[in-house]
Amino acid sequence: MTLDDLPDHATFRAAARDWIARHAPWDHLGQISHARFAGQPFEHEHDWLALARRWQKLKYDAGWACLVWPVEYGGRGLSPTENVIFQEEEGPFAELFNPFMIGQGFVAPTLMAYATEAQRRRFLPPLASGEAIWCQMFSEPGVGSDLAGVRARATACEGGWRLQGQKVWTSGAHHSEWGIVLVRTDASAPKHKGMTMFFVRMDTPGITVRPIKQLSGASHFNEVFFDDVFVSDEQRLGGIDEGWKVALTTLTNERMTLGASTPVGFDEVFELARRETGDGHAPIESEDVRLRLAEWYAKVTGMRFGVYRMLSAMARGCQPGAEVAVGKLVGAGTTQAIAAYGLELLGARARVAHPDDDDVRRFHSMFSFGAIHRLEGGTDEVLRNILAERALGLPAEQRTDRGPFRDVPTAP
Amino acid sequence: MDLGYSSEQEALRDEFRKALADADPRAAFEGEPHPSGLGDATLWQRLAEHGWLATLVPEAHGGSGLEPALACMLAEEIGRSLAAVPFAASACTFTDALVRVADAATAAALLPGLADGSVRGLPLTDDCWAQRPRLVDDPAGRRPRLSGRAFNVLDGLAATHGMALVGTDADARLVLIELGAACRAPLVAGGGALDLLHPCASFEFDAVPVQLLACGAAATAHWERCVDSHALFVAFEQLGGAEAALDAARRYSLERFAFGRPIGSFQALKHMMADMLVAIDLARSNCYFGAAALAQGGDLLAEAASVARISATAAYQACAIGSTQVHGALGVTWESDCHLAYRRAQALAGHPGSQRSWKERLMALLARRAAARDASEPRSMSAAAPQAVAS
Repeated sequence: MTLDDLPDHATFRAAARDWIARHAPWDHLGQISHARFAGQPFEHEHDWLALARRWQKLKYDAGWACLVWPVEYGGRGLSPTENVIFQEEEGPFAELFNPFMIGQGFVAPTLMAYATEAQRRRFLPPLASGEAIWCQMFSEPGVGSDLAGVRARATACEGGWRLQGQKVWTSGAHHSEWGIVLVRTDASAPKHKGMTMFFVRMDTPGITVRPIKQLSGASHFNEVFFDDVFVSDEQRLGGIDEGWKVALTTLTNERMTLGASTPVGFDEVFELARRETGDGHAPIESEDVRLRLAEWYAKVTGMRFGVYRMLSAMARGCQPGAEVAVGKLVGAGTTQAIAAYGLELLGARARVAHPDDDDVRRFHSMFSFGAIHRLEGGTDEVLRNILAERALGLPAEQRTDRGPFRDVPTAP
Repeated sequence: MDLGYSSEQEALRDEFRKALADADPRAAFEGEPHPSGLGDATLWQRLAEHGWLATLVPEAHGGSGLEPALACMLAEEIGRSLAAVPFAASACTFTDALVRVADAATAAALLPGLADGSVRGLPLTDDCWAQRPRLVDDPAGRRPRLSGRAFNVLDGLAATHGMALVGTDADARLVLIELGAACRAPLVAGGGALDLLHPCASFEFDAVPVQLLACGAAATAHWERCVDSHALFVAFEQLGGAEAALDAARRYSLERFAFGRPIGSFQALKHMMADMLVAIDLARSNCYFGAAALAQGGDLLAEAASVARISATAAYQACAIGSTQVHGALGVTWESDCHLAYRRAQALAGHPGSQRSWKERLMALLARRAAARDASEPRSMSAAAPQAVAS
């Protein structure tokens, strides 16, 4: 039981701190600090992406990118602990990881598990350097939490497959070079048994990407239409009709990555509460405000040291269990509550997010983000089911979709 | 960073669980009360015989001299078994504090008794005092004399010694009090205890001679460490209690059928139990933060003890309440153990220190830290401070 770095980790931290101090885009610190909760600010998305890619490439060239990946794929072969240490040292610059989170965090582990060795050597290094951004095309208009119900389909043809159908809520599809896509290949099999995973270039003829305007007014996710899109059989990940197993690899990594990196907004609401308002008093002078903040702070430390517990267990050779779902479940709900409380503290000011009013804009963003984050990467309800069934061993939900997929009831 | 117990340390937990297998919480309120005031005197004796009460007693005094982080783990098991013994107060907090502050003679006088269970100590924290303690120096130059009234002290019935801070700043005095028969307020007849497992007692101190342990800043520092570590040991006890309550709910929900299926298959109950698990997970992370901070002390321990207390209290209450709900009408009978946890969780929510006091302590600490940061660096950089919690 110690919070001190082990000797190797202390050396690593010092080296990381030194390198970051010399190379991070300090001239953009203000812009980056405001990006939290705003995702990738759409109006400046091109600039934002360019900045994120510049930092990612610098890290990659100097050996600070994708630290846990094997060296031959562009990583350093280090442990998740070093990865967390580097993120801690990155501080606000860790925000620039956002555009790469899906590709590096969820897709890359899937490629490592299911792509051929030649494909791994071809695709992983550009993923690590930020040159290639990948998206994950899973959800559909009728399929979210019940992901195994995908209806987009692939039909075998000469030399490969033809894809037909629609995906939705695909984050970053509009600036991705590649994507993985889960489709149905056998509608006569039970739903979990008839899916296959492919990867596809996003500029393949027949693919149309259409941004969706979110409640914040920004657009980070998209509809993706597949109209008779050809993919070769080499672009299949895992066996035919074994796509569910492949998708689980992606989803497990998604839960772990999101659980370990969920922003909460405590620092923001704490700073807001410390500042004097028009009446010459700071909200934090009120006991009610302090008691609420204290409760949220205890959640923040709980999540933070939950990650440390997980890293320590992994260092002892244990595999993380279903409990990794706790981080996002707690973080998203807490963000939503903090955002609402921040807006309440801002009073009438909160009613209009003036372009120059950073405080209000930040809490508006957080307010939107909280609602989105409780749904993405596993809704609160799905995560509770996962915890109940896999961590507590409670019975699975009763199902009415066990038979052939084509017979599963749908909305009229 | 290493936030977990090694397999060797976990083996100690297994040993301790064996020792607690025969814990009999109901001995605390069924049958004749034991003259010692202990809830489960048989278990206390057995823990003494097997050396568990000497976990924090240094080897020089015949104990095991283990690190306090391990005592945390044992306190968790005490909570899990609902053991009706003052383990956290006496074998953890009081022993740890005494080892740190006592001179050789005092240590030699008390540590063997703490190890064999005949001495049972506790810290008289702020929430215990109905009338603030005062000290008057003895004109004859002997021991100072303490006056004041301590009210409904948890574990007080079994305690033989107390530790308390009297006065503030330069006038602060850390004192050791013998809780003799003369200062014990008469027991109120008719039961009525909220916590049935840790019998309370009240104390009237009327110019009682006490032993001075430390003065001024040293007294305050020792006392803060004592209170923070007590909060942490109790948080571990709460953590174990919460896990036991969730486990009981889980097992019952798998056995009990309604509408043709185990009630644990209904999503309303699954989600309730998932939320209990989430509360436990946060509490465990904060408790481990505390166990790691014990070695360091100071502000870090104050922060860790505060968040551990806040989240472990929330977890134990949520799980005790939730478990009672899952058990249905069975859970609200005297025969069920549900109410033992339900009562214990509520009693521990107020001791040591109210939830409010821990939240205020935490916020005062964060405000001090933020002010120091404001003073030392430009505002825009504050997010990059290495100590800032990533949120």
